[in-house]
Amino acid sequence: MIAFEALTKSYDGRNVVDNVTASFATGTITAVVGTSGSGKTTLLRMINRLIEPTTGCVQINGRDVSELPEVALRRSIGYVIQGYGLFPHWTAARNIGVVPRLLGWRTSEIEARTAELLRLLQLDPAQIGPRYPHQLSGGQAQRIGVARALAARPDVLLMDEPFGALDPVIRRQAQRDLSEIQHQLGTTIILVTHDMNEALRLGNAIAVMRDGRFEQFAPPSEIVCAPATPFVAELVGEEGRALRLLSLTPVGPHLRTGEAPGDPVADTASLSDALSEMIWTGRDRLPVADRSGRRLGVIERADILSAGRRAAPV
Amino acid sequence: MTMLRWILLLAITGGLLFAPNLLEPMLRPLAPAGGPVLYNRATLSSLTGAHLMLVVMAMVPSTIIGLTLAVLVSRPAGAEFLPLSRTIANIGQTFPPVAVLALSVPLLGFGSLPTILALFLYGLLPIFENTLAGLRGVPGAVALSARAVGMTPGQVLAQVELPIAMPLILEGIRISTVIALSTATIGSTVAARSLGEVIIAGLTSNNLAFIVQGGVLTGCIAVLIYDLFGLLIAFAKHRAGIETGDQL
Repeated sequence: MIAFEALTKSYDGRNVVDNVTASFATGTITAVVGTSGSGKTTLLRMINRLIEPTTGCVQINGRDVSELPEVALRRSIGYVIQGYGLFPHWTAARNIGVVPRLLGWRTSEIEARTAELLRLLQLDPAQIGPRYPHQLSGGQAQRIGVARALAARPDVLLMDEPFGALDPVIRRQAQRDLSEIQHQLGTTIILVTHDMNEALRLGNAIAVMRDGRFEQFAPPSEIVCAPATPFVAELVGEEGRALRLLSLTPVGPHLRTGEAPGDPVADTASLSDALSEMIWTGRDRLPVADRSGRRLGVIERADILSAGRRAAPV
Repeated sequence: MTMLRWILLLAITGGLLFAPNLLEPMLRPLAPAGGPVLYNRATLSSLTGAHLMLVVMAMVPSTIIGLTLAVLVSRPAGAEFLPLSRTIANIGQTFPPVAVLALSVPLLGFGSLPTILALFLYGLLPIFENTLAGLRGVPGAVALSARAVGMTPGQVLAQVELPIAMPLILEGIRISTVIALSTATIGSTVAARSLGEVIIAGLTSNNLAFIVQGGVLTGCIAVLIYDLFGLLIAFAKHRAGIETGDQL
């Protein structure tokens, strides 16, 4: 678990991060959303001590990070930044292996780990490994950046606008891949973004930041249904709120027993996906199946509509 | 084209160094009637060796000190020394080598030392400024990543900053070396052994053939060394991951 205690950073008397106290559960993705200048990057960098707090502290699993040696701390935390900052004079493979090499792993272990990560990120080790960063596409460079951050199996991954430089199609894919990887590895991720949609899509919890403070720190559905301040409401946007809420809710909990004809939807699909499928195929109820294709029940149109209503449970 | 240039340069240099007799007919019209055509007080190859030695003796300390200064002032702790270092390097560059020679002879005596001092001072600035530019040219995201993956400051410098800055550093050493090669000729006015000896002998005895031998040889060696650095820089760029389009 990562915890901030009255964390403050000031430059020239101005509090860029202002007395933030919060904690982030292990194994979850927390998205920190805010406009530029809101202090979100400063907040993130205080976790791996690229920036030292003015007052207050950051704790990881109960230990104050300021008591840990800087270098060892950073090697134990993955960090991905916008633009990725790949070392231009090293191949993709060497970039990925940088932390294990710093930690003194054996060459054979580093090579095995590098190949494993490239495959995890759906890149061919023999083809992509020997390339230099300037020979990679934007999407490939982004994945190498993530692989480098994951190389030494960190428990914590910090990401600062990791998808900012990608075009929309590749960005969606990269976001899906990140969810998938996080699910597999159980890493605790703190992701900084200015894009509320990205935060809603990826975050198990969302912290909305403004002028160095958390305006609201809540699960996505609560951010959408009950924005705490006008600023949060503005970031979420009023139009399409119902559909947005539906897109955050999986089909699973709204299942009914029964049977219906036609192609099934997955139980992990969102209610908005299910609704879209109903509209497209002109059906009122859809069969639901799990990953292996086993039928679990049906989802009713009326249930979807009521789930998107304002009074829906938060 | 480049191939032709290499062949021509090597042919002229090699001819002057190892087979001056072959060039005698070409130089004869330049020599005074009845006077010597080829410089005969020392072999051109031994003078070239001494000349290059002067340059190396000056460039090694220039490089070590220019590079070290640039690294120091590019660290956060050394930033306040930047104006001072820049001033020192600038004075070295502004002070004419001839003046350095004149002023240092009373202290260091005649011979190689005053020349080495003048070349050393003259070479500091390009190396210092280029190293500084190279280190500052490391992209912010790359420098940040180097710290964020847990490199120590020394590792950041040795593994990331210097390799990326290397093409510009070499460019600075190239400029200083080529300037030093040509400037070393004036060292012969204070009795340093260099190719300047041949030129000065020609000037004092009105022998154009001597002047051409000394001048052309110095010029060709300077261009050859410039080109050799070019190859080195292309290799360093390749190593630094800079796309050059050059084939190695």
